[in-house]
Amino acid sequence: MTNLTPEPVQPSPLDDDNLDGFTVDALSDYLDHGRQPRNSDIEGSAAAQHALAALSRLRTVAPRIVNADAEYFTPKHENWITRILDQIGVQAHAGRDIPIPYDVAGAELSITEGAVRALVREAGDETDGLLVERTSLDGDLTTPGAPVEVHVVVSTFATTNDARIVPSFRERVIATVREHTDLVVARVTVRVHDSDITDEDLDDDGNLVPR
Amino acid sequence: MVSLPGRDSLSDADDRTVASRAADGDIRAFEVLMRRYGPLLRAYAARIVRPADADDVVQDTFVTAWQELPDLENPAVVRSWLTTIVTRKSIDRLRAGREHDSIDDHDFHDHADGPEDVASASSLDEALSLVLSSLPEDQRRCWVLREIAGYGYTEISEQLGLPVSTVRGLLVRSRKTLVREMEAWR
Repeated sequence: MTNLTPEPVQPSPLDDDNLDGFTVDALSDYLDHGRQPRNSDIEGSAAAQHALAALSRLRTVAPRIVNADAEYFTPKHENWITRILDQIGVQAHAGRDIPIPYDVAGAELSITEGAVRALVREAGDETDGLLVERTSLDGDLTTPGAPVEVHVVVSTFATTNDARIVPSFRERVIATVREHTDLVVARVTVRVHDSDITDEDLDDDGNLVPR
Repeated sequence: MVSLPGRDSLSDADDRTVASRAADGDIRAFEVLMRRYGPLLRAYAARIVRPADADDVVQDTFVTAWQELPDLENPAVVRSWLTTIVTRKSIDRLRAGREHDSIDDHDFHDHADGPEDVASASSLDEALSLVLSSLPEDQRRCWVLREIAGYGYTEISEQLGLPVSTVRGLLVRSRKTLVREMEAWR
């Protein structure tokens, strides 16, 4: 940090007197076009070069200016997040209603697709070493007994042993869905970045086998 | 039944992971995104709309983001995607304002906590931030849309309802002022 205050009036490379007859507008256009096609008048003028360099520097600094602002503009009231959450809470992604059979005439129970996906994410949160990114339930969720496929995309931490963690997570997903719904889970696919792990990759004990 | 999912690990996770998770419907992950980029988006909006309107613009931005996140193809670019939305929302707000009133608000830093004048700035970035604040609104908007949002002259002209020649003139003036300050720091 310095106490030196910049002089308010100093010659600038963009002053009309310093432009060698060129305009800031024309030089900006030239810069915008990547200095193509090459203009030998501009390239041969020291003043124009000086101005181009300044415009180019300003362009480099531009994103930093708004970043520098951000610390001043941090909302003062913590409740700004709550306000937004309140507003989007009513339009959370609930998805389809999955019926839960119940032996009472006239009673209709259901759980939303969004809630089941949240349970799958939660199963991931309870598994050390991975984070669930995306979930989806494919199939006819609204018809009891129809086969359903569960697809999960996870990222694993660098230290994670995928071969050990992923199969146990997969078991946990199956158990969770069975516990909370009557869905008939026909298939569970866990994708770790670019590799899929399905039934074919696991032996009878649920361990990962090479393809 | 559902506890707060993985909050600790989420707040440290990269944009792609957090945005994917938010797109999946996890509101806690979305909250992480809001904390991460809310101040930046607010600073950005305050450069285009009146500072007093910036909060509303940011709120609209995040509500739209929540709705549209599931369709974002590459969650790793969530930051620039949010910037695109906040630009659109800011311009919408400007247009709505133009229809209702024409009061200009030049008291930009009345609403900010930053230093009051350029002389007290402790870095080039901060000094330029203050110079940007002191620019007339039209110059500031044109410059932000061109240099931060990457809009072309015609696009700025259409969005702000100004002739292209005027946009060019405003950009020249804003560049001259900013470069003068920038050079003073060299």
